[in-house]
Amino acid sequence: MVDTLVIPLLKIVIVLNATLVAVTYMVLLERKVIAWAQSRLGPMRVGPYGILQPVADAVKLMIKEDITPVRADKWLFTLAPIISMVPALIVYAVIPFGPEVSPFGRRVTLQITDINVGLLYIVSVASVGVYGIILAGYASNSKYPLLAGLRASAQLISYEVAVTLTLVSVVIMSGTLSMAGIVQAQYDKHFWFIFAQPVAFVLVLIGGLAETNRAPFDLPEAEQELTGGFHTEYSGMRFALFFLAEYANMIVVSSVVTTLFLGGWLPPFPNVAALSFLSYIPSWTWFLLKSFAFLYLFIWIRATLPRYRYDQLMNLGWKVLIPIAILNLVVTGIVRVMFL
Amino acid sequence: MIGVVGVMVRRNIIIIFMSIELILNAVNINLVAFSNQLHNAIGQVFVVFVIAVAAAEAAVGLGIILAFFRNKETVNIDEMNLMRW
Amino acid sequence: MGEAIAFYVISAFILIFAVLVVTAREAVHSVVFLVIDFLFVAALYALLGAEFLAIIQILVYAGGIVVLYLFVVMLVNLKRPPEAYSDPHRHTKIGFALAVAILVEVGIIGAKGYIAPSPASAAAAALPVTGNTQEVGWLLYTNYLIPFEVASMLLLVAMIGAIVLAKREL
Repeated sequence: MVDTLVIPLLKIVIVLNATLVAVTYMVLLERKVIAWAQSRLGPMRVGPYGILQPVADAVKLMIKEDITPVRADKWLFTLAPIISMVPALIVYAVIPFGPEVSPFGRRVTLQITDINVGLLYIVSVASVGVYGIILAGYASNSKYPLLAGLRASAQLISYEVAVTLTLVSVVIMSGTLSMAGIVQAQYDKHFWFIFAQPVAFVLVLIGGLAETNRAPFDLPEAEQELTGGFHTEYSGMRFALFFLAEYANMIVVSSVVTTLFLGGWLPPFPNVAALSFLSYIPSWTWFLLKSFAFLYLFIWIRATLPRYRYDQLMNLGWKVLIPIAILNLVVTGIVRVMFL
Repeated sequence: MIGVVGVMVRRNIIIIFMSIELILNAVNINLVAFSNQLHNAIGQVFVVFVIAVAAAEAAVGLGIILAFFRNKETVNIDEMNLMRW
Repeated sequence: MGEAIAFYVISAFILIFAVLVVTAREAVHSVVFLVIDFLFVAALYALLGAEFLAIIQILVYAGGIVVLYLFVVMLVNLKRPPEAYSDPHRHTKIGFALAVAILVEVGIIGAKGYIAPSPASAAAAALPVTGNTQEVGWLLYTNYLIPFEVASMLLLVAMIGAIVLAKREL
């Protein structure tokens, strides 16, 4: 009774809370990092070194007036931010933060649940998240958000194809779709998959950037384009939900990339006995460190690269990434069967 | 059955297409249920093919609707009578 | 016991949302109800032990095909609701009668044609499988390889056809 109900609930509570706090502090981190890249300091007034800035942002968004356009579709208008946020959060159910540990003498896996189609689950949940954007654009009942919503979702579904094809080559390397199994396969093979699949790593990074509407692919939501994109008519808490959903998606993508390519919670060179002192650092700390490195990379890219135009973006997705992904898949299949 | 009613009754052609998807889904549910009952995975293999065919049919069907819509601005199936005098 | 309750509850939701799809006034609401319907169907597949199919259903059906429908619905958004024009040639009552006839027919087939599990299933159970995904994949690549290749050709043709149909100038 305790094992099947209480422990998963506890894990869910911990993971959700950690995620929501991490998401709000991502906002602060981004502003700080972009500011440092531009030789300025970022938010410094609220709290020491601007630490309490997310709290101020949250309070501001909550007390803003909640405007609903007159002829908008009320149900869909309210539903759209929820549809955006929920997929970003439920992906955490399958991400492995660590191996089995035994606190208080009870064996517990640091993963909420390990379904044996875990990787496919992540991709399918991402494809449901597209609905939030389309419905938001439609429900606002005005031209600009509708068009921006359609453009954004076209971008998302295009890059979804490229990312899914690339992920299949990772599955060929590991032989299983379950996330814990992928980490285990990296442990068994003595190397992280980034060394075996560098092309796939780059493709998933680019695709992940495009999937989360992050710069340099953030045309759908940039302020200078189409007067604010698909969330023009949203204000207050609903806008906050969209905003948070985007950052949550970003954290999800970095966690997934960490698990698939960098060995999840494994320390570097896990099977080399000489480096076993590295395992004194707990496994989930390794996981957090690696995810954090990717988040930093995402923010860094945003601060540095200019934005892609929409047709260049679609061109890249369909004509460049998909052929490379298919080629990678074929080469991986051949090499795996013949050599490894 | 609900899908069949939808195909017969509604006039918006897109909703007719969605009702066809409902019919295909009903067939899939049947296949999966029998596959579970008879402990044979062949039902699920067939479902994969049905889903693939449904995807192809949806894509081409919607392409046809769009091409039609460019010629005559309606989605009412009773008005799609270009071939009738 | 709990499984049977879950089965009936999910089936009830599927039927309710299917009715909503067919009877919604606005096309966008229809599409949203269709998505929710497909999610419930995926839950049903997971309950019946076909988790690979459940995920494929969400990925392809709910996440791909219905997005396509949503796009088309928004692109053909009209000022005049399509139901305003009523054709005297349409026989709505025959539509209902036909649906009921099909239901009765399916019921008769279901009641009379119950087959016991055949020996083929015993042979299938001897395959080296460790889960639903492997099982389906194994069958797809060994016994049913030719339909698999034919399906991929079909998808290729459909893709080319859709692109050709949607181009503005040929």
